[in-house]
Amino acid sequence: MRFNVALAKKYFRESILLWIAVAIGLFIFAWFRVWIVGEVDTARFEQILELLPKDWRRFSPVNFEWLISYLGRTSLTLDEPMIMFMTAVWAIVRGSDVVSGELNRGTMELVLSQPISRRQVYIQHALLSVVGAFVLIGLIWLAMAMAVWTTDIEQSTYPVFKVPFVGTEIPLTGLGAKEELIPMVEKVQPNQFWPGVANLFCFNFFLIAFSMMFSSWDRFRWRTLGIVVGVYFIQAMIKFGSVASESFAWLKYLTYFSLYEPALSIEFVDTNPDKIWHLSRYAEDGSFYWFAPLGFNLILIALGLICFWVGARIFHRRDLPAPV
Amino acid sequence: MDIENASIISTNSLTKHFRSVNALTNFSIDIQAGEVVGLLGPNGSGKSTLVRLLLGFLKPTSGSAQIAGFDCESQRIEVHRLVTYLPGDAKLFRTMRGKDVLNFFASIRGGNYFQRAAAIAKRLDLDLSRWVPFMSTGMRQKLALATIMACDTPVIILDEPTANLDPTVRGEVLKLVGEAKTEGRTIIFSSHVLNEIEESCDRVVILRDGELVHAQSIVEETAQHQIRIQTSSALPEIPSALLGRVDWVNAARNSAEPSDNILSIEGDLSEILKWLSSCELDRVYIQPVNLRSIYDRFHSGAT
Repeated sequence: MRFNVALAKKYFRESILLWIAVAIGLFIFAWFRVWIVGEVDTARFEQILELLPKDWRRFSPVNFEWLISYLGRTSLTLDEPMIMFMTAVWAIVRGSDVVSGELNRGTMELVLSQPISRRQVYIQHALLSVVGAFVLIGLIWLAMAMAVWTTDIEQSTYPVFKVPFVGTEIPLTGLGAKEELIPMVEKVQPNQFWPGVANLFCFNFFLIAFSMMFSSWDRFRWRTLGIVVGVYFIQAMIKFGSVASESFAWLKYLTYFSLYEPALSIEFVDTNPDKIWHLSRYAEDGSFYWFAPLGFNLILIALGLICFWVGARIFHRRDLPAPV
Repeated sequence: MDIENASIISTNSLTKHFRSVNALTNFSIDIQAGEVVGLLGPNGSGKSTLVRLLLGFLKPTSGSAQIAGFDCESQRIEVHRLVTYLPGDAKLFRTMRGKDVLNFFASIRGGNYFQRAAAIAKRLDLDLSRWVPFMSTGMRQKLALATIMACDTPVIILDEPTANLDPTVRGEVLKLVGEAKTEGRTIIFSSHVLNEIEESCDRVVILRDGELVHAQSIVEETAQHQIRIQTSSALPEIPSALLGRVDWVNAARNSAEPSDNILSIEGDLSEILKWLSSCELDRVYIQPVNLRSIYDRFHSGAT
């Protein structure tokens, strides 16, 4: 298949304004969210969490003790609804455009009456959407990294008594804490975000492919958007149900959101650096518990590729109706 | 394949059904290279379905269509290299200016496409610096015409190209079609405007309910006459020597009242006039056949 520059430029023109808007929003939000973490001292954050009912802990994607750390709190940025919403906007809007969008606008006829194959249209659109998502998610990492590099955090330190000859230091808490500012980068390394960022990208890759599959089948953009967004919210509700109650935990097998765990991915790699290449996690008794971050990502990529393939087949074989 | 002398477009029992709707049924036609063929028929008669099947946008239910030997369904890309197509209501890219649209097609078609398209746009008095969303329907149709007519493909398919255009530009479009014909390009011209077809085409094809009901060359059509006869007597029998050249189009043979009866005649009138002068008739009107009267035979009151 030959790469068609004219087609790529066309898709670029059609998507650039949306991309810039989403990029600005994501960059500012991710930076601000990490900066906020630096404003609240870990000890105080721990006190806030202590006030929450114990039942609420089950909604945390990560272990509560890890969550209290600076890495845990900054990692939760990737679980924020705002990040999910804005990246999904790009994935769903661009994915739904490929066939039903062009058909709806009536421009598909002119494109496909040129010596351009349907495969070219489909793959180039997918490529641009995926590259767009990749750069957007790269920007989220960059914003988080810049926030980490530029934010100072307050740290309470106590005078210490150094035991002569032995060298042991004993904090003298009775003398009161001394507040000092230290760079956040001493507590969090931006490279530690990569597992979460990778999971976010894989999730969006899947979402683009899923939207494209429905777009290939449909002729109205609004209907494609309705279906994909509807499925998205139903899946989100199923995920919520699966964590809300132990008796509904089986629901996690019915939602693709069970494969979206960026903070958990970061925690897993942080606490199990030797298991980075593991596909699954196991309970203490050795039974299968759930997938490891690499497992999430590979399943999302595999599901995405299946959706791309199904969508391409539908588009290749379908009749193209006249514009309404 | 020598497309100069062979039939460049060929359909064989081409059929398309949409669930219970028979959009096109057993449509077979051969179009020679350099021929201009007009498609006529009311809305829903199958014109656009035929065009969309030729372009490979639709998959035939049965039968096949070929352009220059390439199958329209399985060899779409090869077909699209040889064909340019103008849809009835051309929708263009709303994120582009006029000149960007020409650039888009130029980068696909190559050669000196852009210069040719810009020259046609200038001829149609079109402002290429305007954004597509701010163009009127007519301006968009002009822009689409410039993009299509600038292609130097051997086949052009025009689906109601003059819809939404003012009379001056309509004339210009017909000139462009004439120029393309002079260059030896094959054109399929679908329209509801009968005199456009009559002016531009070599052959007319009339469709009704998805079926080809009549195909005739325009030269043959202009050699035809219609004679309207009013008589109170019984209608005369057509002499055997004239059978084949003369036929009743509309005859009220058993009517007791004076009635209008129409004879269709091909070729020289002198022998027919001799025969009619020997018959007992009240009134006789002679008129050349035009496309309207042929069309009305199949679609009386349809347009």
